Amino acid sequence: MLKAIFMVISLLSFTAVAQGVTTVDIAQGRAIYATCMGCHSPERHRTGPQHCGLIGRKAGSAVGFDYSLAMQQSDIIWTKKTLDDFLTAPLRVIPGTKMAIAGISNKVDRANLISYLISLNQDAKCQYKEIP
Amino acid sequence: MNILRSKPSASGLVEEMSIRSRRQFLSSAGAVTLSATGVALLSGCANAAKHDTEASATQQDVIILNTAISAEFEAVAAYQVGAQSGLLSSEVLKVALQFQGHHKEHIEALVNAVKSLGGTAVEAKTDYDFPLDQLKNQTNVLEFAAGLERGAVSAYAGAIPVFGDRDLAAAAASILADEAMHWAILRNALGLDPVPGAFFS
Ligand code: HEC
Repeated sequence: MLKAIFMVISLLSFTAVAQGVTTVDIAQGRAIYATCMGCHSPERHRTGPQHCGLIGRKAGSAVGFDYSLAMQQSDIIWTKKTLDDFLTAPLRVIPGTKMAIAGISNKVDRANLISYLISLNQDAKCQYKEIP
Repeated sequence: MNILRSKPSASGLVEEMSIRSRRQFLSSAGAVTLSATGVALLSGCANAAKHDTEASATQQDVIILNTAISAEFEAVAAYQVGAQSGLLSSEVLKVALQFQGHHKEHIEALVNAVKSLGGTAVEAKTDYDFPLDQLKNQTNVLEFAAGLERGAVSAYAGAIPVFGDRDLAAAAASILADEAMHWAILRNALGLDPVPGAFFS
């Protein structure tokens, strides 16, 4: 019985890993991030806030950035899921946001981009600054 | 380098005219929006919902324009850093100042559009957090500028579909074209393929 449960668990985690490998491509995500760099950079506040430390952070909470009220009051925590929604249609998810651009309609592009954003939390260029 | 030749001086007049016509263009776009709102107001409760939609579309256009103005101010400040770095040859410096001038014109047109919609335009930041430690020679500065221009193309490409007013989308498209030309020239000066593909967003 225990062995059966163990097998199910390892099978599940195997599929998860396999999916991770086949469907998410950080290098692709980094290439798509070029379209964000008109306003963002990983480590600096620009027209948009820095993306270092994004995952797990409350929307509109990076210290030193002047967010819209709409984003500050959105009550969103950035996770894979909330980023996927937001990046599909920023203005629909947070009406009044200053990130007033069309979203990314391609699901795979979004997944790759989000994997790149997640990887930033580990990235050396994000380590030198205190992430709020 | 032929492409880095500075503008003929007679273009000052043409520029002045084009600023004026763009102003008219943008302010007449604003006038259309306002009079449509006026009609909605006059036609009373039955059209209240429509009026709300139009008002919020106008507010959204102001937000889009203001985000674009912020990015343009950053570009002006970045070219200023480049121009004052002492790292640029006199030829390249001329081009940098010309491109900076274009960004200033974009700001002027965008600010006028915000005003014509009854909004308040954002101001430049007092301080920009540029990666100054990475600017050690002319190539670094050109790469930095090219990155900003490439980003600007994306920012306008993202903004154009969400404008409520199609005239504003058209104005943004004409700015996008200018940023794309800057990007190509900078890439060329860096010895890169100036037009590396058929599609960009
Ligand atoms: C035209 C400029 C612009 C572009 C292009 C842009 N953003 Fe933004 N972004 C902003 C602004 C401005 C904000 C702050 C929004 C607010 O305060 O309402 C923001 C906020 C965000 C946030 C919330 C961050 C936080 O600290 O809560 C995320 C996530 C984000 N952007 C991701 C992206 C990604 C990914 C891309 C590329 C696909 C992108 N943005 C492209 C301007 C832009």
